Amino acid sequence: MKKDFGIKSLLFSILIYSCFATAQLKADDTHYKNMLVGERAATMGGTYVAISDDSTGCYYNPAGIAYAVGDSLSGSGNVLHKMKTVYSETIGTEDWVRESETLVPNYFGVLKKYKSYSFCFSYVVPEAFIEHQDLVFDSPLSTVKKYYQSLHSEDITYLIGPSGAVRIGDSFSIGLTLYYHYRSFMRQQHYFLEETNGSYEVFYESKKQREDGVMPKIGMQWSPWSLLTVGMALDQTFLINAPSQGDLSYHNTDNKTDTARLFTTMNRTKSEVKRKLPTHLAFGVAYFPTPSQLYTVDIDYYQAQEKGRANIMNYSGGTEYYLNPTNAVRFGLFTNYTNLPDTDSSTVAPYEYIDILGASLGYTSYSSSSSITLGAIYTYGSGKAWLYSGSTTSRNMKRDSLTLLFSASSSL
Amino acid sequence: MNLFSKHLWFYIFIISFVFASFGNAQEFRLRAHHLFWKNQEANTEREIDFGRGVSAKILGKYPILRDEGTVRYINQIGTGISAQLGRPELRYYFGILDTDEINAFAAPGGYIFVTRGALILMSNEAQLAGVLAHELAHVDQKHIVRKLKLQSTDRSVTSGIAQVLGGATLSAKIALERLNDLAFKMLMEEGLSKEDEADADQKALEMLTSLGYDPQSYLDYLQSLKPYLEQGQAKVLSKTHPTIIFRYNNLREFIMENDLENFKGKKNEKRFRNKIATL
Repeated sequence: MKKDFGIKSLLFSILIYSCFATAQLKADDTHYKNMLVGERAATMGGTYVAISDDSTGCYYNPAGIAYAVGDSLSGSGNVLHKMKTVYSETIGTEDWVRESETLVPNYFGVLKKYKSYSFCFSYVVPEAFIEHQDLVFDSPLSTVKKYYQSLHSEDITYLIGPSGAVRIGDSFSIGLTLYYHYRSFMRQQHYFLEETNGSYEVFYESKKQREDGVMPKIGMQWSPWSLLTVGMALDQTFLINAPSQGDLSYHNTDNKTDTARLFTTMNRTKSEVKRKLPTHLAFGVAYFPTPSQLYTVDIDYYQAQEKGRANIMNYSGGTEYYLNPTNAVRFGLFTNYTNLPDTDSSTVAPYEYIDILGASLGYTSYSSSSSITLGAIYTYGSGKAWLYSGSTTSRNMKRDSLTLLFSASSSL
Repeated sequence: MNLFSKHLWFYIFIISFVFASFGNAQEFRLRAHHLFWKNQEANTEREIDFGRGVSAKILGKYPILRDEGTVRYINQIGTGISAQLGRPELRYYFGILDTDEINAFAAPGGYIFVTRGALILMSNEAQLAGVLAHELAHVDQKHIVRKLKLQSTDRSVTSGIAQVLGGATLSAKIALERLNDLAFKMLMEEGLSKEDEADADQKALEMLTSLGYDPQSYLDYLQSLKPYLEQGQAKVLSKTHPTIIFRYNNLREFIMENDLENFKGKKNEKRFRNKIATL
C-alpha cells in the first residue's frame, strides 16, 4: 500500500534526494577495505601484512618484498566488481536500489631483486566506483504524472610509485613505499518531474573533483620463531590539493494557480577543501606449518584525522593450501567496518551506518615461471541509512558485492 | 602518534637492530610450487649429467661421424621436432655414429644418435624424422630413468634422480658411474620394456603427423629392417627392441584408431637423398 504523500512532501523529498545524492553517490569513503588487491592477498581476504613476499607486498607491506623468491611481473584485474545497495521504502514505499559495476585492472607490479635489496614499482586501484542509473516512475503519486532521474558517477583512486626493501640479517627486513595518490571524481545528475496539473521541474547538476597527494608506507617483517613471521606497516595519505567544482541548474513551472509561475536558477561552486585521511597501522602474523599450508591473520587500525570519523579496527584471516605442487586454493574472511561514529537519536542525514563482512576464495595454477589466479570475493552488510537531508528518520539498508578477479604473474 | 612520528627513524633503527640480532631464517616461506620447480630444475641438471655420461659410453663403442653437412642436416630435422614437441627445458643434441650397424640411441637429457647404417637404409626424410622422433620420445618420457627406478619415496621420478645423483661425494660419483653402466647395458643388451618401445613408436607417429610428415613411411622403414635383423646386421637392435611384427601391428592399430590411413604427409625424398649422398 502506497503511503499518502502530499505533493509538497514529494517535491521536498525529490529536492533533498538530489541533496543526499550529492553527499552519497561517491566511492564508499566510510569504509577502508572496499577492494582487495593482488593475487594471493585478495583471495586470502586481504590478509598479507606478514607475508607480502611478491610485488603485491608494495601495497600491503613493503618489507615483505625483501623475501620475494625472484624477479617478477604481475598484474590483476577485477573481471567484475558489482555492488548493490538497497534502501528500504525510500521513494514512497518503494525501495531505492543503487548498483555499481566496474571492470578495472586494479594492480600491476614489477619486482627486481639485487642481493639483499628488492625494488618494486607498482600501480594500485584501491577504490573504484562507477554507477549509472536511469529511474522512471510513472504516477508515483496521484498528483505526479512522471518522475525521471538519470545519474552517472565515477570515483576512482589510483596509487602509483616505487618501493624498496632490505633484508637485515636472515630474519628481519624493512621496506618503504612512496605512492603518488590521485583520485578522480565526477558526477552528472538530472531529474525531470511532471505533475498532473502540467507543472514540471527540471534539475541538472554536474560535479567534478580531483585529489593529488602522497602516501608513504613503511613496513617491517620479522621471523621470531621458525615457521612464523610477523609484519607491521604504517601509512597515511597526505593530500596536496583537492580542487572541486559543482554546477547546478534548476527550472520549474507552477500551474497550480491560474497564473503560471516560472523559476530558474543556475549556480556554480568551487572548493579547495582537503580531506584528512586516517593513519593506518597494520599488524599481521603468518604461520607456515608446511610448504603446502599457511595461516595468517591481520589487524588494521585506522586512526581518524578528521572530525566526524571514528577510529576503527578491521580484522582479517586467510589460509592457503596446495592441492599438489602446482595447484593451490585460498580462502579468507575479513571485516570492513564503517569509520563513522556510532549513531544515536540525534543522528541527522546524510548518514549511512553499515558494517560489512566479506569472504574470498581463490585458485592458482602454477607453471615453472608463471601463475594464473581466479578468485571471487563476496561481501555483505546491513545497517541504517539517514537519507533525507536534515531528517532524523532512518531506513534499513543492506549492501552486498561480488568481485570476480583474474590475476597473472610471471617470473622475469 | 605524534611522539611516534617525531622519532620514527630512531625507533626504526632501534627495532631493526634488536630484531636483526636474533630471529629465524625464513627459508620456510618457500611454497610448494617454489620447491617443486626448484627440484625440477635440479633434476633436469642431473638428468643431463647422467645422459652425458651414458653418451660418452656410446661414443666409446662407436666413433662419431665427422661429416659436417650430413650432421647439420640431421640436427636441423631433429631440432625441428624437438622445438615443437620436445621438453622445453632440454637442449637436444643429434649425432651420427660411424658404423654399418642399423640402430639409433637416446641417452637421458637429450642426447640422440643414429647410425650411418640406419641412414643408408632410409629412403626419405619422413623415415629419418620418425626414427629421431622415436628416440626423442624415449627422452621425453624418461624411459631409461624410469627403468632404472630412479624414483624417490614419493614415486616422483624427477625428485628421485636428484636424490640419487645429486651429491658431490665419492659414493655419489660411484653411484653415477654404476648407473651409467646400467643405462649403457640397457641400450646395448637388455633394451627397454615392450611397452616403452610401443609408447615411443606411437609418440613418434604422433610427432610425424603433427609436423606433416608421412606416417606410413615410418612403418615402411620398420618393414625394411626385417631382412637385416635376420641377417644379423642389426644385432643390438634385435636384442633391445620388440619384434618388427609386434611394432608394426601396434602402429597399424594406432593408425586405424586415429583415422590416419588416408593421411598423406611430406616425404622429402629428394632432399634426403641429396643430404646423405656423402655417406
